[in-house]
Amino acid sequence: VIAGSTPTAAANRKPGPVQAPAAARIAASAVGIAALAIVPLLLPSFTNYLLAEVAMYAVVALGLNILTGCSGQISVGQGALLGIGAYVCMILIVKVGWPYPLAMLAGGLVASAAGLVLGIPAVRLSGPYLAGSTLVLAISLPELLLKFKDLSGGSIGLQMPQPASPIPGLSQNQWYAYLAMAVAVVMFALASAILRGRLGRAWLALRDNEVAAAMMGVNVRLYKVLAFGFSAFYAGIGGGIYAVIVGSVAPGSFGLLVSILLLAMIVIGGLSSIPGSLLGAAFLTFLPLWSQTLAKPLPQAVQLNIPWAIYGALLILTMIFFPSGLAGIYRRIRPV
Amino acid sequence: MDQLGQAIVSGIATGSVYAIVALALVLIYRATKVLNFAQGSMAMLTTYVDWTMIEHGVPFWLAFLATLPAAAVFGLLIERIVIRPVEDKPQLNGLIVTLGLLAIINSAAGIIWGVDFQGFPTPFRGSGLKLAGTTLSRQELGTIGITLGIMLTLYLVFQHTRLGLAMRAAATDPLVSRLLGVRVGGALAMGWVLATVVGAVAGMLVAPIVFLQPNMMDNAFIFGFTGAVLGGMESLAGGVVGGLLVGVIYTLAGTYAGPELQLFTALILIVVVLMVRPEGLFSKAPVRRV
Repeated sequence: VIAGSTPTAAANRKPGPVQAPAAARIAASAVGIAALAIVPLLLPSFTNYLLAEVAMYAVVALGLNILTGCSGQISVGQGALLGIGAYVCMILIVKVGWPYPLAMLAGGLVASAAGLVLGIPAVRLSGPYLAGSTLVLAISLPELLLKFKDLSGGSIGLQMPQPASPIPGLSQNQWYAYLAMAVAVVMFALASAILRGRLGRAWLALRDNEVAAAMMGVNVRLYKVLAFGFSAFYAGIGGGIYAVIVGSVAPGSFGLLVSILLLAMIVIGGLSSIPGSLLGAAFLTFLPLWSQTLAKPLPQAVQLNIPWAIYGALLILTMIFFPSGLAGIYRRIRPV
Repeated sequence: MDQLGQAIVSGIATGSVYAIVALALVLIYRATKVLNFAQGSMAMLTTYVDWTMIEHGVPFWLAFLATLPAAAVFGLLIERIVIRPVEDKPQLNGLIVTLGLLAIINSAAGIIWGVDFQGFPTPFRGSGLKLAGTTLSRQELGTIGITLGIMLTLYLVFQHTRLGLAMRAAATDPLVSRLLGVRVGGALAMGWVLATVVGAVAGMLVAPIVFLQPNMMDNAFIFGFTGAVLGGMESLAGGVVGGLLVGVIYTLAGTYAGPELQLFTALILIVVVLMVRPEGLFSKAPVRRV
């Protein structure tokens, strides 16, 4: 229906976002939100913190998935955009005294502006060349943060006091879980609305066949840069959550490794799948913990290193046996 | 002028290592369209193998030569076991597999050899060479010499052997090559074998400078990748020129923009070059299939 108007596009078409009938979707969302409202009350404290972390990564992964899965462009600078959001949010709270909801939003907007700039090369570059140019941000952000140390706090970074829960009776981590999940629900709803609209169709058309999209009247350059700006907004909002729940930012926290982790999340979760972004984020947040638990009885040299090996092995096995990620498994077993 | 000359000469010397890493990345990308994020880790592992032999009393050059076939087998195994199953899948899947490899290899090295820095011997000792107001150390000269050797070998393999012809054909058009009797799977696997061998050499050249450690190839990988992108992911000559250029640009940025913003300046320059030549310096005119 979207880019299927040319035979090549129809033949090459990859799955778009999963779409269920409206009534079913709304019912499912209502059940989901009700479950999210209860879950933090039942879980131990540390698990609540992890829940907040999953929600944070899910938001950032969703943004990257819109860029890579839906508009077909790669970015290895997403971790740095997350860092920009976190730093802006932190600076506004600590040095300017803004309330944190406003600071988080500002972090998203500044990251979005940075994303638009990062997207300029995308007008001409694609594939590994685009990866190469987005790499610039990933590896030079720490250098820039050290250069402007009055603002960024240099190599130590910045810290802020934990914001108290406005709802009495909630523990700190429960409050974090609610806050992060609330932001994530809003961001997921926004993404699913936008992907069903004009913007989403234009991105899918671009991804499937750039020339055909241009002939259908899609402004290729504009929409490519817009995809970067939009996904960077998600990274920045995620950065805001990071600043609040972690309570500190440092130059080393947003390197290339984070960008790579995010890419792994969307591919493992399922490219261009909205629920896939959440699945990938959850899987890769819990995986290191599981592998650490598994490694407990082993000698120390092995114990410190084995979680990474398990992590790597699972990445490879998932790609070999479930090439379209966790969301693909769901699609395969879902009753038609 | 002396400053500029020195920056360029040292840049070429550092760039030589990037050029070798870039060559390895291009060899793999041409053959299997996989962006190999594990290239640095693979080189690190083979360097540890080399080091273990040296520690057990094997002479430097004998260990060096023995490492190369070991690397070849390593590359072949990787291609056969984990890359082959994802070759017909989207490009990102291959990239994630190499990320998995990176994690496994680094973890294995940490378990077997520990994460402490180890000194690594170099055969290039003694005073350097002074030439027209610039100085080159023995290590730098040796690196440049070995890079030239690798380039020459690859040139001869690709242009003057049946294997090279088959590899070029398989990379250009697998289907037609298969119809003409080329064993495409084998030719593509050879891309991984050659790349692992070439990468192993890069590792053994980097180790004396940055010391042996599981993360020792991180910088060389990032700059090698940038070099490969700059030259054009599909061109071997482009990889070499790109790697050397990255070395020179980086040293020049350090000389003229100061060490604080060295990385940033260098990378921005590279993006500017890419904006002018979107498929790298050595690309053919891009063709879009409608």
